[in-house]
Amino acid sequence: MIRHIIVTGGSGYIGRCVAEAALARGCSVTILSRRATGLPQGATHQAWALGDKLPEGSLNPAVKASEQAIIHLAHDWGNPGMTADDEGGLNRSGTGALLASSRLHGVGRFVFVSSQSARADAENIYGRVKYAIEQDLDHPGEVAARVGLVYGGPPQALFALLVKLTGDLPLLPMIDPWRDVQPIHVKEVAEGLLRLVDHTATGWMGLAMPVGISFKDFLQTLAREFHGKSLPIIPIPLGLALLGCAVTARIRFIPTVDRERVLGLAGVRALACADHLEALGMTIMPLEIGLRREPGSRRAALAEGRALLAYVLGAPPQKMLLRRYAASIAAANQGALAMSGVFRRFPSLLRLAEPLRDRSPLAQRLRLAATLVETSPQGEAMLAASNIATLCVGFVLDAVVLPLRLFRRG
Amino acid sequence: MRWCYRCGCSGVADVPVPIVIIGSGPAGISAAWPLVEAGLPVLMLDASDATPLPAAPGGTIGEMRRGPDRARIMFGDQPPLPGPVENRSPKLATVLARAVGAGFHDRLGLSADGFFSLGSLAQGGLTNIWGAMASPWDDADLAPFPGGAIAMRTAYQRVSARIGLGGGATDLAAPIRTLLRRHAGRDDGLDLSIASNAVLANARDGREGCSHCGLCLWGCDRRSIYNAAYELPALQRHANFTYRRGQYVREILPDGAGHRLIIDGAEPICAARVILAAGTITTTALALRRLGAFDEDVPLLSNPLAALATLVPGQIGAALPERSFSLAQLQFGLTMADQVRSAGTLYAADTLPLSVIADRLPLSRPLALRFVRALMPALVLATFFLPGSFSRNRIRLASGSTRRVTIQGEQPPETRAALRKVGRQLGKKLRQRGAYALPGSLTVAEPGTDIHYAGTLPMGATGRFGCGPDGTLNNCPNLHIVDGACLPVLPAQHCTLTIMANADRIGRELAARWVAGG
Ligand SMILES: Cc1cc2nc3c(=O)[nH]c(=O)nc-3n(C[C@H](O)[C@H](O)[C@H](O)COP(=O)(O)OP(=O)(O)OC[C@H]3O[C@@H](n4cnc5c(N)ncnc54)[C@H](O)[C@@H]3O)c2cc1C
Repeated sequence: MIRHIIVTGGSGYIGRCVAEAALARGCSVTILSRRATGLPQGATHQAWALGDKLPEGSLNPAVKASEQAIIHLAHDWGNPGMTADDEGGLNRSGTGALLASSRLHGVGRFVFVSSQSARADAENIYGRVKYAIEQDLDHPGEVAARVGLVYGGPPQALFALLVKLTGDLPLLPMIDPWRDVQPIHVKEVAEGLLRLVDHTATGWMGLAMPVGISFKDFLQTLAREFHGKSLPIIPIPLGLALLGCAVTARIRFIPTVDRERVLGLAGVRALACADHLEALGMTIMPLEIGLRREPGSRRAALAEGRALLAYVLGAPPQKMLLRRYAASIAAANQGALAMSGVFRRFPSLLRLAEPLRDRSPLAQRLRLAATLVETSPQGEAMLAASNIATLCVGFVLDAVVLPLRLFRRG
Repeated sequence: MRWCYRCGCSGVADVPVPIVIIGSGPAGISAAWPLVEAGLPVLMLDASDATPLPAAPGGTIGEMRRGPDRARIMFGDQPPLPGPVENRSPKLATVLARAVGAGFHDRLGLSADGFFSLGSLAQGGLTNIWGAMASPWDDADLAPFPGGAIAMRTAYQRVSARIGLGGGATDLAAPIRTLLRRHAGRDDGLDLSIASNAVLANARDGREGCSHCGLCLWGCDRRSIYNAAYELPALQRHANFTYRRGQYVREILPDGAGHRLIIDGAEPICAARVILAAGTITTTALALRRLGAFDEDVPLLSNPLAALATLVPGQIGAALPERSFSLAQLQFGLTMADQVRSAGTLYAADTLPLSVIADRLPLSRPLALRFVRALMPALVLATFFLPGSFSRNRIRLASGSTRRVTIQGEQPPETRAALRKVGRQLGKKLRQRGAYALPGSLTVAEPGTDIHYAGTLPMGATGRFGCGPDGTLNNCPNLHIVDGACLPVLPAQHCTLTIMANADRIGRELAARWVAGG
């Protein structure tokens, strides 16, 4: 049973989450990084950079070395390695240094965080470097974790980029949109790594949703759940995408898309990890469910509520109503609907879109909004103030838009 | 007198409990009174747990409408969910109704198809949320009862005196007053009168008279609406009456001349005599199990039900009232040309959520809400029943380890047609009285929505599925069925007062026999 965990890259996207989860289950945690900023509460810090060996003070003297583990996440992007003849560069040599001192101290477990793209012949450098390092883990107690497409938590790393892209762009050009990705929530990654720490597996273990979904579905789900919008996807050839990367790298003020990342995604192959997950006793939640636990999903529900409630009320809804709306959507285990942004800007236009069919999702949401309005003081004030004139206007408007609504029926 | 509750107990005398009543709903309570008053030792069991039901909100409908607590009162801690329009009485959508019905299906292992099923494990059973319509049946409908109408009339009197009838609909809503005024002097087959409710007009027995607060749907904080649970303290003042909650009876096994009750999570209880009043569905399941009648369909009566919304135009746009009465305000009977008798009730809509009507209108939501708000003060809602003979539902107990109870509902085309015909007639007659039916508002409800479940083990039936004049289940001496299950017929009427009168009659008969030394 491991009782002390040393995390390299402990202030990064996954690292921070791992450190928090380890602390939560009662382990002591030391974080190795250059600076002591952004550390989770309760963890101790040791200055360290890739290439250094294990600092003396990072081990917990109160715990046997065999009950301590290293989770190695740090990766130097500025110094990628794996050019023609550097054999993995700093990432590999640095990992080697850490590994050597870990062996020297008799540390019980060494978990190296690798990637789904790790392959000898990977298209991207990252994948080739990760693969090369995996080969160095040849002692008992050493294992690599190949992690799928990580999402969730405070948006960072690739996830942050995807959240931004799906939010900003009206449509998304994409290389091979039908290629499968295997998402996994960052909390599940943390959980998986900690289980791996207490496990005896060697070689590599996969941490990802065992059955992939197409990257297109991934992005469209993200667009719906986080931004309440539908996102048309335009397939583009790889060559064109790389050209795009080159262009974005030159133009300022637009998000740059990294060539490495594009190659990484394009080169991904299926990660057979069902057996690994079973061995670790883990099930991975569907993407939708994972996203719905995120603040981004609640923000999208609030934005939708703001539009629907404003439409029903004829005025901006008060905070309490918005909160109720989001709570109802969450209680139903649902997320935001994909809806045109025009309706969020001009809620009264929903009159054109309100379906006549009572079973359509939008009709159900509008009825929910009406119920919430009716049972709120703000709604009661609005209803008590409405008069024959407001009704007449309402009937005229309804009559005018009826043909449109009938048309939408099909 | 002392006795031992548990069998095998080495305590006092090792005798079974003389009488166990299963259920503290109106049927069980009504059977208990004559027995307890005659001095018989009675043990009453029910399945309720100690968690209190949600408290009644208090205040008035006007205060609730404007106040900040409205959403909390209406939804509790379960927010409303997006979903399809529901065809269900707003009475069943409340936090209270959810709590009263909680656990019923799971505990019994009940699933229903094409049938709305509801039951209660609460103290007082479904009277915690009932509509309290209570009027005696006609003599013709009482003819099949043992002792006929005469025996039942005296029982009605005793029960009515005990629970108190006639408060409630004393201050009618404006559109209903219009309707009643224009009804005067008409003789066209629609007889319309003030609803007879089991609601107190004046304080008695620790309950207060109805104040027309209009919050009936969410629970009566004055206890004006009758609830069988209110009678428990009075019964408990009798030394020969014992009440135990949390006793879910799973099975009633034969045990010599008496019975052995198998109870979830508790010691079995031996009883010389068992009075089964667990509500028609549970009672039927327990009886079928005792009879070993697995995988056999048993007819289950209910009153086919439909609803109609009408409008008294003069009241459109009026302000919603501060106080009201949200149970039935008028009752009516309607005899059709083919002698089919239908009966029903009329309600004001001024306390109901707008969504009840607004959800059905093909208008945009902003308009629908505002429009229905203007209509609400003018709306009169009718619900009406057909006799149980129009229903075709079946209940069965599955063999095997699951012992699931299933109800298969069916609404035959003739029944739908008959309901629609009554609806049209009613619409016509109400129109002549100044209330205009809203187009498309006639809705035929799913079977079982009436919640008048009855007649699975009718008194007088000689086969296996029936019982004798004192409710004794055929071939099972000393096991008496006293709730809706033993009703021999189900006319188009509310049934609970009759269930209570019949239970009282049976209780009285058993008490008389005991006094006579039988
Ligand atoms: C919304 C609504 C409106 C209604 N309106 C009217 C109306 O206006 N007029 C009318 O006449 N009727 C009305 N009814 C029907 C009426 O409520 C029922 O007919 C009546 O409550 C039946 O009484 P009961 O004693 O047979 O059973 P219940 O009231 O169901 O009571 C059952 C009792 O048995 C106990 N119990 C159940 N299972 C077990 C078990 N396995 N072991 C031990 N105890 C058990 C429960 O704890 C409870 O105490 C309405 C019902 C509802 C839901």
